Amino acid sequence: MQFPNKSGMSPNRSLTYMSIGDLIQAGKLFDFDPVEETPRKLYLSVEVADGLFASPTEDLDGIRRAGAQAVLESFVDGGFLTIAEDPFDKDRTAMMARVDPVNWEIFDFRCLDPEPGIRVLGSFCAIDEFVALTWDYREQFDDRWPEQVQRCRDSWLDIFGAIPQHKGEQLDAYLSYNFEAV
Amino acid sequence: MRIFRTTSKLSKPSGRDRIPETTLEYLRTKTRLTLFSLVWREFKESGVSQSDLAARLGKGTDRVCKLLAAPGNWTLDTVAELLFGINGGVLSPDVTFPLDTEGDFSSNAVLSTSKANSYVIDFHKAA
Repeated sequence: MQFPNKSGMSPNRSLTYMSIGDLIQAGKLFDFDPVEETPRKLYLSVEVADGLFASPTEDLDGIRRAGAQAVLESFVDGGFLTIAEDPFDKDRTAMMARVDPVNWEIFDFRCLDPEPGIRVLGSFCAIDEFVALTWDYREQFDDRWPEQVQRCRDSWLDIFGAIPQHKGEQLDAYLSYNFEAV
Repeated sequence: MRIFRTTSKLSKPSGRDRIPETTLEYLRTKTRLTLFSLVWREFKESGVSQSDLAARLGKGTDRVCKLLAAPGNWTLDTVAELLFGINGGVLSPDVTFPLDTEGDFSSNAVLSTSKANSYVIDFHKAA
């Protein structure tokens, strides 16, 4: 498995790091793995930390959450990702997808197994660093996509205020390695 | 400090105690994703096209594209076919024991993924 070159840290990323640290101190974000340096970073909102990572329940919803936890853990550990860049033309099985409207910079972790799965919405705060903001069971998106996307956007604004999401022209501005556009 | 890694919250199996279904689902997904990363690493390094791989495996390009999009429906047969089709590779699995404490690995255990990752990152930093 390939790993990113961590020496190329940009000034913007350093600023983001400072902000992230403050937000973690303030209890607004959680670091998925605060102990070890990992190939990618994942930060969790209180909603994701308390809901998706709630104590396991031995029912279908609990089993779906367990699958989604493994997907997010794979992201942190540098696992390979297939990403759909176009919200309206994507492979049905893509593991991550951009969400409409794309200028809101929201991405969707598509945790597909077991069906109907779970969706985790969030935004990148730096290259190889994702903030998981909101989540829900797939069926809760059926006719509520705009509402769910708005909820994610509101969550970013609530946590980060005026600090914008990380942006880029191409997917390689968001992930430095181990991904493929589909 | 809150811990989110599932492995840090698992209990080691013992006796005839039923392993929770949530644990099994976590492990199924984690294993599929590990194999998915392995296949993609070989595929990227090989330089083979999806079209050529499809021809080698006697499958349609659409089918191979779908297989490489996500590992949801993969079986061990799928992994065997893809790896060999890509570059003649054969799966050589090993087992880790993430629930054992460091220094308490059994003789045939290997490093945890996260620990191995940290070693690789340290190596890159030093380079």
